[in-house]
Amino acid sequence: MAPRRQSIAAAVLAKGTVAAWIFANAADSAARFEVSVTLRSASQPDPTLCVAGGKAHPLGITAIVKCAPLPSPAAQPDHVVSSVLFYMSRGVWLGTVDETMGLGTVTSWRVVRLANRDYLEMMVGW
Amino acid sequence: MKNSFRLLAAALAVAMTMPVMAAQTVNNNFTVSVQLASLCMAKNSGATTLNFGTYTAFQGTAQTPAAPVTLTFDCTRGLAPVSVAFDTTNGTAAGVGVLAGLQYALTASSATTVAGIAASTSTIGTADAVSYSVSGTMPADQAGTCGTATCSASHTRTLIVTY
Repeated sequence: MAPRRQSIAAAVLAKGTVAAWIFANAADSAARFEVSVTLRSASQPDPTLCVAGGKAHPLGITAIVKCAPLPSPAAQPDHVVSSVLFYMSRGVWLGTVDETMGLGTVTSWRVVRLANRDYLEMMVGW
Repeated sequence: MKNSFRLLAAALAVAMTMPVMAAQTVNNNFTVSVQLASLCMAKNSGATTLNFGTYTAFQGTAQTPAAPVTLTFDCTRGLAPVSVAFDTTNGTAAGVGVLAGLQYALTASSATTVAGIAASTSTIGTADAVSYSVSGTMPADQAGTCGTATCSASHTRTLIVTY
C-alpha cells in the first residue's frame, strides 16, 4: 500500500475509533412521572344556568336545552326535519334512547326542573 | 566500687557529648489514577403527577395542568445532557399520549442546571442538578372514552435524558 493510502486509511480508522467511542459512551437516564385526568362525560346541569327553547319546523320541532357554560351542539338542522329531534348539551341520561322516531305533532311542552335534574315533558299527537 | 563509678560516669559523659543525627527524607513517587464513568441519575422530589384535572367532554377550550412537574437529574459535574425524549410505552417520544380517550401532548422545557460544588480535600462535593419542567395540553372538543358519568385515569410516562 502506498504511503498516502496508508495515511488515509489510518485517518479513517482514527475517525471510526472516535465515532465508536462517542457512540459507546452515549447513555440515558430516565425519570418517571404520572399523567392523570378526570373525564366528565355527563354532568348534572345547574337549573339556574339552563335555558330551554324551541324551534318550530313544518313537520316537527327542535327542542333545545342550553346549559352554561357549554355551548349547545349544533341544533339548527340545515333541512326540513320530519321527526322530533331533541338535543341535550349536558345532563345525565337516565336510560337508553330509542332513536327510531315517528311523525307527530307537539302540542305542548314544558321543562320540569327537579332538585337534581331537568327534564322535558312533551305532549305529542300522531 | 570506686573504679566502677568512674567508668559509668565516663560512659555517660561520652554519650552526652555525641552529636544528634539529622532526620533524612527520601522520595518515591507513584501515580494515582482513576477513570470516571460520567453519569446522570434521576433524583426527583416533590409532586411528580401531571394532573390535567377535570375535562368535560366536548369542552370548548384546551385543558392544561394546574402546575407542571419538575424532574431533576443529578449529573456528573460538567456533563451536559444533549437531548430529552419521552417513553414510547404510553405514548410517543414527542410526548403525545391518550388518557381516558383524550389525546394530550407533553412538552419539556430546556434544561436548567445548578452547578455542583467541586470536590476538595475536605468535601466530596455535589453533583450538577439538571432540571426539566414538564407540562402539557389536551386539545378542546374531545369526546373521550367513559362508560359512566365520570372516569378518572392515569398512567406513567418517562422522561429520558441522553447525555
